[in-house]
Amino acid sequence: MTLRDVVITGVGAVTPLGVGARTLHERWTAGVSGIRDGEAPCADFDPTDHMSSKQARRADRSTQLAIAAGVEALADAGWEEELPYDPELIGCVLGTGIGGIATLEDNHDQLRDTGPGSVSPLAIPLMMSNAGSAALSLHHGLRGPVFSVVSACAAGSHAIGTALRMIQHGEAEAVVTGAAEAPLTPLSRACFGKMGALSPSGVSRPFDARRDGFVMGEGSGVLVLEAGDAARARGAGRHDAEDGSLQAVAQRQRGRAGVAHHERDRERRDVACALVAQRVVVALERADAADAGAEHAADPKRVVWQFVVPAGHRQRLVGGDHAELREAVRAACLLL
Amino acid sequence: MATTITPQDIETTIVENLVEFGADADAVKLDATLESIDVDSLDLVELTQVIEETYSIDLDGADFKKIKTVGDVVDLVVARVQG
Repeated sequence: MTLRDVVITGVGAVTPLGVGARTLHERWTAGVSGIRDGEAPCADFDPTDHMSSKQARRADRSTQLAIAAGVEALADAGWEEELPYDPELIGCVLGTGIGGIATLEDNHDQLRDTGPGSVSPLAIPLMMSNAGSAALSLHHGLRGPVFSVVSACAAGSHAIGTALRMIQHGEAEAVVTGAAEAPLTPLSRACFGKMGALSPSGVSRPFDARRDGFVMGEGSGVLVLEAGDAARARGAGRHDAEDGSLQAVAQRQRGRAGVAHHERDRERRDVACALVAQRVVVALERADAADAGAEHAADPKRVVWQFVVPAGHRQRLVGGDHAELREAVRAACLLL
Repeated sequence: MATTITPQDIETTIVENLVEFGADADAVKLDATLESIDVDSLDLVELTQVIEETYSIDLDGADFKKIKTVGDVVDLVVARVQG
């Protein structure tokens, strides 16, 4: 079966570094940090700059972030005036770890303090985990497959992968995808704190000898994915021309599917993988054991940074660093 | 307390809440249909909640079956509060 190629034609983001994907890129590459007082809120974000007051009222903060990032992504794709495809063929798949937890907490407070009559009739549509994809599809009239993917910190990647495959397999011509999260709430802080996942220092240091947990933040990133032939036919696909990232992923997937049948290759790769992982883990352990400022600790860490998928979120849990690293190396090796 | 509530108070409460829910303030007139000012079933449930708390009355879904305009909502609440 021939899979259709997929291109990124629009990007949008609301993050602790500001509103807009370009703002994120500029400030990130300039080394700006979005952490304030041990958390990373989207402090510049005012929902009514991006949607009507009615829409804002009918959306949990996580959904508000998704709507704003989505508006930017669709405009970036040139979809502002009208949708380029039959709306039935445009899907929307967003990821989230928790969904509208602020709404849930507020309504639970109401229930506890004043009884069931005082909870909001909007509570369910605001708190449900698919609220973001539902709101985005309603806002833009997307009538293809619309749902959310819930898989903790991997939800955004899973959503994009799901969207990619929907287009590859012809289920949709285009899919608006990405993720949104707004978990800066009392219950969420307490629970992540209790499990020992939060950084006491309030500094995020992935893959660093001094790492002591993760820092909670909020935000949304949205991509517009389109079938490559259809996008090129309408003169789109700028982002794909720049970085080719999804093309590359698709090609790797095809390659991986092809070689997976050759068991000997697979075994050889597994052995190589194990060796690489072992070396990296040993290097990290050495760095861990050493004083953070020690010179000899710098090189292995740089190797880790450059060659291992930088996906770790550094929970404080015992062994989390090494387990995550081992799996990241393994995943990277599988794609080689 | 009920004796001090005027129809004007009720109208003000209803209009203010509909505007807070996102309806255009200039468009919320007594003869405006709820549909024309984009007030949907969820807005009505919220409005019901506010009215019940404010005036200590009970309303249910059947009460809203024949409601078409903002004025119809005001009339319904006035009748219940005064009745």
